[in-house]
Amino acid sequence: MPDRLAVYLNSLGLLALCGALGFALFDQIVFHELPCPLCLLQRMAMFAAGVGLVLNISVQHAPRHYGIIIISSVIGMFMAIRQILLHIVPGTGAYGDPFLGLHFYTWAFLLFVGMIAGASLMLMIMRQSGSEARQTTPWLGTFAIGLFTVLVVANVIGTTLECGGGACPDDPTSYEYLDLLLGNQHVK
Amino acid sequence: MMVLPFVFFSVAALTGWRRAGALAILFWILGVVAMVAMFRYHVTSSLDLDF
Repeated sequence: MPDRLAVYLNSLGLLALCGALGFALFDQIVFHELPCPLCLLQRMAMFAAGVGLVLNISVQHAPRHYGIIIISSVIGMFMAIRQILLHIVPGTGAYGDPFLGLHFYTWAFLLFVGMIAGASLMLMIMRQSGSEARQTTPWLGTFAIGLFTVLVVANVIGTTLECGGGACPDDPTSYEYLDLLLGNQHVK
Repeated sequence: MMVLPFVFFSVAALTGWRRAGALAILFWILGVVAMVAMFRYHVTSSLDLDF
């Protein structure tokens, strides 16, 4: 596979990942749907997988970077499966509102499966030695990495405001640390 | 504590962007370790397990 095509495919993969993470952040800010600890863990796994895509785009198209994507996605898949199983018994409710008929954790599971499949396919068709170390990054790759970095920094801020330096509540209702900073009365 | 893996992954992304591949992988490993530790903490605390 030509190196240039691999970079564009990785850039498109990173943009798709940014789309999912951006939508989750949009839902959190606009509809005030605060992420639970398992939701945050799944976001973390998506960012972990994104690091592999960033390395494929900016450093080198290499098998070890696909390893990063696959390992991160397998861990994220376990987290998503745990959350699906928590709510699989009828009558036990669900966390958050569904999107296109599926809850976010089910979408996350499908995304992780897709990333594993995509990375495996790329491994099957790439040269065993990988590509040469890259000197320049195409604009699409730079844009995708910039967006990814903005999203991860936004999640650092959001998680700090929600959980502070400790563990997050199982069913969060407010940005506890922000309330604490602002001196609001309804802090748990 | 929950923010720690995000911090590691953001540093990994930034160092990867700057083409420092080995450093990015180091921060990715730190992030994965922190993330798995958080997952273990969440599972054991919600199930009230004590390993």
